[in-house]
Amino acid sequence: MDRYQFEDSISEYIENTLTLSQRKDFEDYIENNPESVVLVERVRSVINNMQKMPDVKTSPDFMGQLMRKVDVEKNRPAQRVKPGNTVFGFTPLYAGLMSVAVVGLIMIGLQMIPDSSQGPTPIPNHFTQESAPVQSPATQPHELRMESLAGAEEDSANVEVQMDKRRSNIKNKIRLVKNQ
Amino acid sequence: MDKDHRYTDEALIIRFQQGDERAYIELVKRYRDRLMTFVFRFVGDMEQAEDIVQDALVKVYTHKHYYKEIAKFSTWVYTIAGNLAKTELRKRKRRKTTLLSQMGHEERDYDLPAVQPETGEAVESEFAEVQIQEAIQELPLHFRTVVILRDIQELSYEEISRIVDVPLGTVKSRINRARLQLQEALKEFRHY
Repeated sequence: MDRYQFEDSISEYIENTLTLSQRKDFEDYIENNPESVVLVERVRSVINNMQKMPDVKTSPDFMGQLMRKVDVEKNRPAQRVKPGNTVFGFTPLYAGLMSVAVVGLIMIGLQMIPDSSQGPTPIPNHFTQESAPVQSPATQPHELRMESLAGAEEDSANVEVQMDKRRSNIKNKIRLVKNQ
Repeated sequence: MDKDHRYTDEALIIRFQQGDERAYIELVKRYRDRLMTFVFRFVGDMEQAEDIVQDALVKVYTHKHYYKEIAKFSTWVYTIAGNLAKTELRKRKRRKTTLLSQMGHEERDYDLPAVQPETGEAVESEFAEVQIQEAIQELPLHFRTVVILRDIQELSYEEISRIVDVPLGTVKSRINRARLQLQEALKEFRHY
């Protein structure tokens, strides 16, 4: 048994809950370390003195104060919401807010419903306008596809012209360096 | 109300759950001083301790249906009181920090009231009590709770484990460590 094991076992030794072999180890330790006996006795003394500490009594008015607090708690829900002032069990404020929310949802819902008198379901303008740029080439009209192809060809021709210019510039610079 | 002594705490709380307010009064009579001792040793202030005990017993009243028969009533009520006491100490710590931060440096030094032992066994015993109480107040909260429940309230390790909701081995270890810290703090006094 080392010092840590000894300290960890002090309470169990005092309360007599160590096994026989643990108790023997413990006693061997204190026999070889006489100063550890002092520690055991001090812990024992602390336990005894704490057990002797007197009970603390409540004040004579404890019960009266407690019952007043209980009464306050009992009456609290009744004070918050008077039964006559509720709408389906909700306070007027919550009932009002919920009514506004419900009416708002109904209005939004009505706007979403299509007008059946105009034939098949029309697609709102803002949907078609926004979705146009992301149409896949396969679904685009033929003229649009041709236009975009022509644009791409034009772009690639411009890139080639620029590359030729750069190449000639570099060649000129190399010539200049060689001449110097 | 003498006949209520026939009932266990658990039988009383069930009667109270069924609407018998006399059962509540009997439970209060049984527990008010026990809880007062526990909470006072924990917070070290009589007025606050009494407030906390009252709040705990009010909670028993308002939350009576939360009690389930699987646990002992004492475990439940000590848990409530312990939690309220910890909350109060945290609040107090915050207030203290705020007050100290508002003070100048020269104002921060203060003297503890001198406790001068006089002659006589009663005074010596009172002196010892004050020393232990002060040493308990120095313990970390998780040590303080368990050592009070064990050495002052004399509850079993198993019940303490249920109250603080910590494994039995941890409870034993904390109690041992708390006792070692207490003997260290008290060793300069001749009682220890």
